[in-house]
Amino acid sequence: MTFDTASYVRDLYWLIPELWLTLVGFALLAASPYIRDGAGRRIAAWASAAGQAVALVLLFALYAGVSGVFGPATPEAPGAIYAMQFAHGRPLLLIDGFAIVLKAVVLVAGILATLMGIRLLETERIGRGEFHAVLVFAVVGAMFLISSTDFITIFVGLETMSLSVYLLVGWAKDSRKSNEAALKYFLLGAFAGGLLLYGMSLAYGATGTTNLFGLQQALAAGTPESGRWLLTLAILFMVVGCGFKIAAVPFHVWTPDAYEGAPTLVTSFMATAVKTAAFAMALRIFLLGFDAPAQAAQWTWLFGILAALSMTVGNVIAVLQDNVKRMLAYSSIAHVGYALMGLVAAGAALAGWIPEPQRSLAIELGQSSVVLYMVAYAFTAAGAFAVVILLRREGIEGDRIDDFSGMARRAPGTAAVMLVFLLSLAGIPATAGFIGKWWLFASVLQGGGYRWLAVLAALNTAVSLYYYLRVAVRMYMEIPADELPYAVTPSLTAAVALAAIGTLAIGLWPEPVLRLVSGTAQLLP
Amino acid sequence: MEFVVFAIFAALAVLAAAGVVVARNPVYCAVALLVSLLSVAALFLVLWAEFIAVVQIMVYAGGVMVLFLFVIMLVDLEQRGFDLGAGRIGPRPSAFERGLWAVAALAFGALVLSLMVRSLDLPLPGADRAATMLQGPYAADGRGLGNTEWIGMLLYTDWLVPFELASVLLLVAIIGAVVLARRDQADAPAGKGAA
Amino acid sequence: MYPVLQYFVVPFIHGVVLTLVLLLCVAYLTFMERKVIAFMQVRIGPNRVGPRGLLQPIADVVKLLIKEDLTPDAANRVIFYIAPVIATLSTIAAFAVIPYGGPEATVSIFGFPIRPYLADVNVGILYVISISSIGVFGIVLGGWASNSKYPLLGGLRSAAQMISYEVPFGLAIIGVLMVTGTASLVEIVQWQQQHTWLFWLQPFAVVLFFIAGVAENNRAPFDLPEAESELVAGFHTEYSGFKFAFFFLAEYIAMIVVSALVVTLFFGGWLPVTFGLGHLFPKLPALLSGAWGGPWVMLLFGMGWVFIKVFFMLYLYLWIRATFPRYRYDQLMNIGWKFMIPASLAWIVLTGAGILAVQAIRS
Repeated sequence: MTFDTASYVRDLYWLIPELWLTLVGFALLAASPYIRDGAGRRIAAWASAAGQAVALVLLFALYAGVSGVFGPATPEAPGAIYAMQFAHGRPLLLIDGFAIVLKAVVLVAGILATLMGIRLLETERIGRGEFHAVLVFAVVGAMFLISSTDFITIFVGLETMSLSVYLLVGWAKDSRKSNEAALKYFLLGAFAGGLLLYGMSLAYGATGTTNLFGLQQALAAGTPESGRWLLTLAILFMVVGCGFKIAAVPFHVWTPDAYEGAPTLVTSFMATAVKTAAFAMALRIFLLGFDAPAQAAQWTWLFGILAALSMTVGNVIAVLQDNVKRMLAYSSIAHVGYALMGLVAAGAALAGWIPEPQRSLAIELGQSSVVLYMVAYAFTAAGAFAVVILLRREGIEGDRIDDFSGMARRAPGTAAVMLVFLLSLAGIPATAGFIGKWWLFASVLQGGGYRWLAVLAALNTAVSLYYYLRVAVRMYMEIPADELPYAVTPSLTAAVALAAIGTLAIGLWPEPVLRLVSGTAQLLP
Repeated sequence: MEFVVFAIFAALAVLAAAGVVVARNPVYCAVALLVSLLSVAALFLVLWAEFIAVVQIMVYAGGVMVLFLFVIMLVDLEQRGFDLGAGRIGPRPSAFERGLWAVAALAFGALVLSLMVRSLDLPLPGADRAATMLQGPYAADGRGLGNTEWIGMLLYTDWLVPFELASVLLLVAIIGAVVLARRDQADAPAGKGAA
Repeated sequence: MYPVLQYFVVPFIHGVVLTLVLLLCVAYLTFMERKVIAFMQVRIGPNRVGPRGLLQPIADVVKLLIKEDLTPDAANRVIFYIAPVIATLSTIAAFAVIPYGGPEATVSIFGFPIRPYLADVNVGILYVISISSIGVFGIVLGGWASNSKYPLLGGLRSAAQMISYEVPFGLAIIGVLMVTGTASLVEIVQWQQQHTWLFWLQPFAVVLFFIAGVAENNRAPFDLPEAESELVAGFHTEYSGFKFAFFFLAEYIAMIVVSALVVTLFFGGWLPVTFGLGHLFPKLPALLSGAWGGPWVMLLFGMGWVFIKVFFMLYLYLWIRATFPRYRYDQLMNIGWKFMIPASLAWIVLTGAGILAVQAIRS
């Protein structure tokens, strides 16, 4: 066994953003015992945001020149910029366009969550310095997860992210709601992790490899009869595990409670970063590992059902909610349903249900539309949660829909921005949500027997308009509910502004993002 | 020979696992779980995976289960009227509901079992590969590396990045345990900066 | 020849003999303890039964055997019975891999080769640690099954202490593994045969390992679980007769196991003590190890050396018990987590640096 030091140094070079972020986490952790007052905590929060911003810059600086992200992919290794950490000759981590864009989304989500929560943490009296360290570690885990192409790295990355987030959800120790949320999220999350692991072990038993590329090769080479049955079970368990992690119906029951009980900035992080990373995991596992027609046929219809159930149940129950955070939780479940359409479209193409030439288009569109949707949804949802944080003041929980009453009169700018977010969530043109949904519809309309999903999604969008506009009605047509000034802080304003700019920019001038995202479609070598 | 040992410990593992679920006294559950874990360690030994077997005992039996017992013993379940069978939140489900769950569980169990059984009769590619890997440390390398050395080599070369990431994971777990368990006064009064 | 005989019956008999020897050792260890402590406290100690009190342990055993075996009414009977068995079996099992002679001292009885150790597995030292970690269950379960407050508290205390000190106990060994590159106890001693006692290379690790070992055994000055003044007798308050004897055995066998481990890991196991004269008189090691007389002589000499070295370690145990006052529980935990663990980690780093330095000098 030879140890090639040079190749390891090269590997580490490609991991610089993650390594840097880990260092930031360590620094925050080391500093936290010495942070006693509010000012120190604010500095720590800004430092954390700055550290993540630097990681974002590093991410793009490293890849922009080298990759095919901003142009055509390099012919030698289409899509994959760099495959690292070879175990048994197969990469454990892949730095490709897909990874870079989604890592950027996670980082942006992390930055937004950090910025929007500075005041909130003080109000909730949970602003201990370790909070930001744990948040940064969650981002690190998510970034690793997004790059992973091996069950081992997938699981370690997933658990690093999940464990940090369980912790963040329960950070408000004195709040019973937070405790409940953390407990539910932890128990179901751990259970889902176990199911996922079980699926992985079955896949390993059937093919003898933990690597997604290896799995792909083994499936392409054809599996014996016995292996096929094991793989069916593996797929079943992994679909359930992924379903839990992305919060798809019927594996969504933890979502509303966890989203409501968690400190709102954590909710925002969960809805954006965690969901993005979980989708990346699902895409990698199913589009890369289980891309053989026989297997694709199995998971496609499972995800088709999940998609239909998620968007319908999510939207219908969201109508009944009085609590904004719960409403947004159900709305996020519905959005998972929309996003799954992309996966289903790609799966239908892989299963061979879509004839050429639409087949390759469907695969490509399916993947990139999910990525695009994650980008769009991250900005929109983070913005919406940031506005909810604005309502949280000393003595006022501020998470009921009624709390929005009269916002247009008291803070016209904020109300307008919130309207943008709501419209984007509903998928109205000129917003990011519209672009995302448009691509998803396009992908599923390529054929393959899942056109009905597009119809269902359109119907659901109509339903969703009702409850999004209900908030808008409160803001514009009712008198203010209270007189306490909104919790405006520079950081929160910055977060809202960033999210709004992102949402509008993608909606009004989508070209750069679309170029970026179509570079990610080369997931399948 | 190998099969006899396997059969004994596999049966023990499954029976003990069933005991974990069935036993009403939580301490019995813990002891049954301990037996199950030890049996699995024995199964690892049958596979010549000595290191994993020992680690299984050290980590699960020596560490995790002791903590389980701690919690079970310190939280006096009986005194709080907590009967494991009846301790539940919300109303007791109706007979119909329970029947429904039972049918669902049975159906799913039957599905899993049948798929498993169907894959029993034919050789699995993974099994062959695992067999060659098992001989690998001793045969292929020629240097006669033992199990422990082999795992160490793999962990610190091919699998270095996930290994290091796992340390971050454990760090987060430690922070979590400390943060959630600590009773702190620091946050009780609002910080000076809080408005 | 007869695989069943060779791989099952013979090792079984070997194990039984080993266990019986161990039991005899324990019996006289108690005698030694009483005598040594009496000596240090300027008393005479047991001196009535047999010549110079030498039959005292036998009398003690008989007393324990014929004593009434009580089980408290409210106790959980099944676990009350199982707990002492777990405690004793796990410590006896740990002895399986401890060598009392080199592979060259393999003797043949009725044609079956008998090696001077029950097993030589390549995870030897890890096996000892993992098996001894099961012993905790005996104590915890025994304390709980008694259904009485002092045993419960004593059991929990001792379990917390044991799992806390298991960490430095294991970490202290890592330096040894790094230097020798093997976890097999036989190979570790062979390494020392070729180089030098690991004590000279790992002096700090010896100290850490022994302290952690004493705490693992719940021995003075870390014998809080059975602090008479606080907890009556700790986890075995409700135990009497034969079941009590089992706990008693477990504690003393564990002492012997830790002593034997220290000897094997750091003081050259079965290797003879040459007081550094081996270089002056090259024949001395061979002479003292019995290499002149074939396997039987080597076996005898190896056992002799192991016995002498273990005897000294046990004496150290008793010496510490006689001279140090008992720690308070929080002090104990502070030492464990805030000194022992960081110190053993630092020692690992230091060892690594040392190995790198040696490699750099050599190349």
